[in-house]
Amino acid sequence: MLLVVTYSRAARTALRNVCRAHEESVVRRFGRAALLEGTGKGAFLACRLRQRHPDDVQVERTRPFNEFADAPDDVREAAAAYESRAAKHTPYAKFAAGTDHPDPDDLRQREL
Amino acid sequence: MTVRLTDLEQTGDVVDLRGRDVEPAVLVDAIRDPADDRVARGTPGPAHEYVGWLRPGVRLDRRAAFAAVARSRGWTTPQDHDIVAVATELRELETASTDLADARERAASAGSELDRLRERVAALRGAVRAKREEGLDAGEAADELSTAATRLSEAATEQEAALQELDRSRAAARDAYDVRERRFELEDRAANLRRTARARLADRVRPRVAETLAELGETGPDGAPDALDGGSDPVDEAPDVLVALAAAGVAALTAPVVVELDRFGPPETADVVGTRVLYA
Repeated sequence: MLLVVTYSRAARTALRNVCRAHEESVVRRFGRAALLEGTGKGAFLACRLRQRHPDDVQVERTRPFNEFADAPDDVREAAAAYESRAAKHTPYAKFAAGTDHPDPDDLRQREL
Repeated sequence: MTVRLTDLEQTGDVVDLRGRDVEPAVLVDAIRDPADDRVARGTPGPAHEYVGWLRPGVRLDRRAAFAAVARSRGWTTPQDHDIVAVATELRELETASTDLADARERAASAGSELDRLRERVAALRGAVRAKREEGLDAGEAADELSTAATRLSEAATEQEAALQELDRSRAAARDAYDVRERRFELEDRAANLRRTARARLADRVRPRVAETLAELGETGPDGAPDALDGGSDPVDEAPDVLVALAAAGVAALTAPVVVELDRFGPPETADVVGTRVLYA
């Protein structure tokens, strides 16, 4: 899918008009942003918006995030363990200290 | 007020040009254009745009007009301070470009050039092997292959450089987007503040317009507006031109009003609007 984010009132209005006129290509709308279908039509609409507002339209391409394939095992396991921890107010750094779970800095520096 | 047109000159607080061949629109333009002194008068304030040309069929945006009337009287709102603060911050924001189309295109070209050369090298490698298997002289083909392999290596470096440059540009653009986002928030805030201010001012002006309308005799068949019957509001129900006239009466006008009404004569209208009138 294509994520379109606008950064001005005019660009937001243009996005809104495009979404209204081409609903079949809109996956989801968020006001100043929208997810468009990853089709030729979606790309066409994204390109048009970029053309019209070259500095106020950001377009990113998304992929489904499959945590079992795309996230390292230790990251996924750390998330699961942290969510089911007993002490609700413990920050992750403290929770991970002294365990095999990756520490926050390590997590931040790793590229997926 | 002095009116100077091609074949006439008149001075007075009330000038009646009906029956002369004068386009009211021309008079309105002359009043509103600072460079035009065919109508020698004061400078129009914020209300003139809405109530400065009274004619049948005029369309009146009541909220905008009433807010302008309030501003003409110097009325303020609690939002005014924030409106100025937001405007100041907006003025001081320095936005940078986020347009990376060129960098993206260079990265894409470098990529497709690399693909092209990879295919070429593969093809030439195949040609060299084929020639050798046939027992033919592969010298020339081998030279071509060598040249192509060098260019392939250069292209790989170029693509790497283009991709790194694109990454750097994207990181810089993120900061630029931050500023644009701040500007966006401020512009929304400014619009909301102005909208709230307009509504407040319009609400305060409305009762005065209602009073003036009543004085003009425009309250409907049964006399004074009755707030208890839950019926229509005379300010909303009365024709736009009469509401505009009443609003002109509430405004503090600094320039003459151009009037095309038969219902009220020049002296009566001048009384209502409290400024010079030009009948045409």
